[in-house]
Amino acid sequence: MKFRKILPRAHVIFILLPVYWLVNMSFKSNQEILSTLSLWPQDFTLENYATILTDPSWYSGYINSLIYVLLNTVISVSIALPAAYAFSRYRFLGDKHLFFWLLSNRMAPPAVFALPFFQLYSSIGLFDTHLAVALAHTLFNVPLAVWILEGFMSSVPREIDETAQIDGYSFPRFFTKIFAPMIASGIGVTAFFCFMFSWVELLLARTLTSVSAKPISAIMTRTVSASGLDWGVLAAAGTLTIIPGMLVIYFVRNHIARGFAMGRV
Amino acid sequence: MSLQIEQLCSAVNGIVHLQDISLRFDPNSFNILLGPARAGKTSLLRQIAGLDPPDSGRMLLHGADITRHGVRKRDVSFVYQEFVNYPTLSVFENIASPMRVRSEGRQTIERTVHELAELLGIGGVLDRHPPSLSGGQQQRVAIARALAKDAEVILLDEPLANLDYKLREALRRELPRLFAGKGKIVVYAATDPNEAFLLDGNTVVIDQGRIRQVGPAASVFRAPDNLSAASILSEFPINLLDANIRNSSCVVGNKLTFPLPTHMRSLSEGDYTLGFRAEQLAFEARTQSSVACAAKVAVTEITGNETIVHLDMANRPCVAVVEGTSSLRAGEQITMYLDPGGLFMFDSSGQTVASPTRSAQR
Repeated sequence: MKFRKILPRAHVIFILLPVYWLVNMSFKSNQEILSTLSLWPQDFTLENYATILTDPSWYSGYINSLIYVLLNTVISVSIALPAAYAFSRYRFLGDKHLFFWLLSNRMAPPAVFALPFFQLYSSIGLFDTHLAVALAHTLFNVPLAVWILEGFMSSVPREIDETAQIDGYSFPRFFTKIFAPMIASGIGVTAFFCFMFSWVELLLARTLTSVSAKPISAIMTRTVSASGLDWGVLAAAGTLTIIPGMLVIYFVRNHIARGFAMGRV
Repeated sequence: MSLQIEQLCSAVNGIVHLQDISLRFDPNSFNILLGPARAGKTSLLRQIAGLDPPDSGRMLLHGADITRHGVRKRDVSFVYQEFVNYPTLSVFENIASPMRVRSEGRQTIERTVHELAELLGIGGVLDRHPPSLSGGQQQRVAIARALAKDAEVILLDEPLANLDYKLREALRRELPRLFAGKGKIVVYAATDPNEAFLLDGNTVVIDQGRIRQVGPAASVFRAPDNLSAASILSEFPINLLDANIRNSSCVVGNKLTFPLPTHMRSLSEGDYTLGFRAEQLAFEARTQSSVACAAKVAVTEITGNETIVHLDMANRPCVAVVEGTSSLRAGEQITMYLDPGGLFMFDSSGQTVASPTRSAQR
């Protein structure tokens, strides 16, 4: 085999190895994980998954995470759509500065905001709710969504807007019937990025919740029981955490590159 | 009952786009805005459509002031140079869109769309989406949508400029027929003087944001009011030479002197600009009064049945168009003949002071 074929294959194997090891572990018993080194499960079991899907303290984590992630995606995209349209179509005082300032919000580490959010949400009774995490995550996702959507919107010629006006479309009707379908892939990619950032974010999600809105990532990091770590269950939980991201990325796989370029291709 | 524009001015960031435009377009008229690129044609069309507000001036449609009316309140439709259609809607829905907004009945919409599609020869592609069509078909869809709106005023901004040669010819022949007899005011922007001649409408010559002349293309061509109108309506650049009139003679440079032709007799002595079209220069004397002038060949271009000869005459670049193919070498000294009966004379401000009589022109 030629070298140029070997290299990409080796690359893929290196990338997939940890994922494979996680899936491998999730089908083993704790004893097998700790006692032997096996490349595939010697004693195949689904018990780890059964534990997660039946124990509310486990599966509620997934439900909580999904609720605030979806809530955040909806809030971020619906706030970003009109904002991106304004940045893309209108010239106003300080528009360029404001546009850049939005992105600069992403330059501060989330830990900076953990304390003020915690104090603020505690005092107004939002602490330990899904909305608290969803709102906290908009801090990062709205600027990103505005930037990506602005790129997609700017690639739609202004003449389309004008033609719709001449045809007599009201703005809301134009936006939903003509404009939104034209940037549908952009909206999809934006939703994916919001979903992804919110799904993997751990620090704010853990700080702003305690019991009723506790995300799966927080549950996974706190599972040290009296009998030590429950390796198999943790691996199963990890595998299940990868799946939503994989599903979402499948739907936007053809547009994702443009999303990373903030829609400017 | 007409569209009237009164003293319209418009400037963007201090750059004047339109200066003191006053025009009147009648119903059932085909009007051509003719001017070079950046002359203000598109600016004027956008003002009429209400897409840009004017700085000053008024606009009246059927006597009612529409200057402050927004786009949606104006009864206009617009066709862009670059085929603008809704890419996510089918051709049928594209044409139907203005009627859908007006909430017309389903049967009316179906009937009108099919009629228009037949008229424009796009009946077979109604189920397809605009991006999958050829440029000519896309522009036909845009024109059909403009007609579907049934607006009083139809604005076309160089609708044929982005089409290839054959399609352009075909669509240009159809255009006047599409709008004829519907009582609409059609305003068509063009850069090519041939379009103004072939579409045969009321021609508005516009340059640098000002109106230079209004009238049928043929009569503007024959008797341009000014240098700008004369050069915009020439297919080839108009030839200009500095001239001086003294002792009933016209003196160009230090080699060319000829007695004033009849139509210039009344001019007073002084400096002028002599103008003549490329067709006025010939290899042989056409009349007894033809003036021989020395010229040096710079470049020749052969188009098939014509030869375009770029010359250096009296230290000015000139263009001559002669029939047939001629084999002239660059740098060759030749003698060209100019018929003084076909000369224009412009004063220092660019106004025409002498136009050739009708019989003297080709």
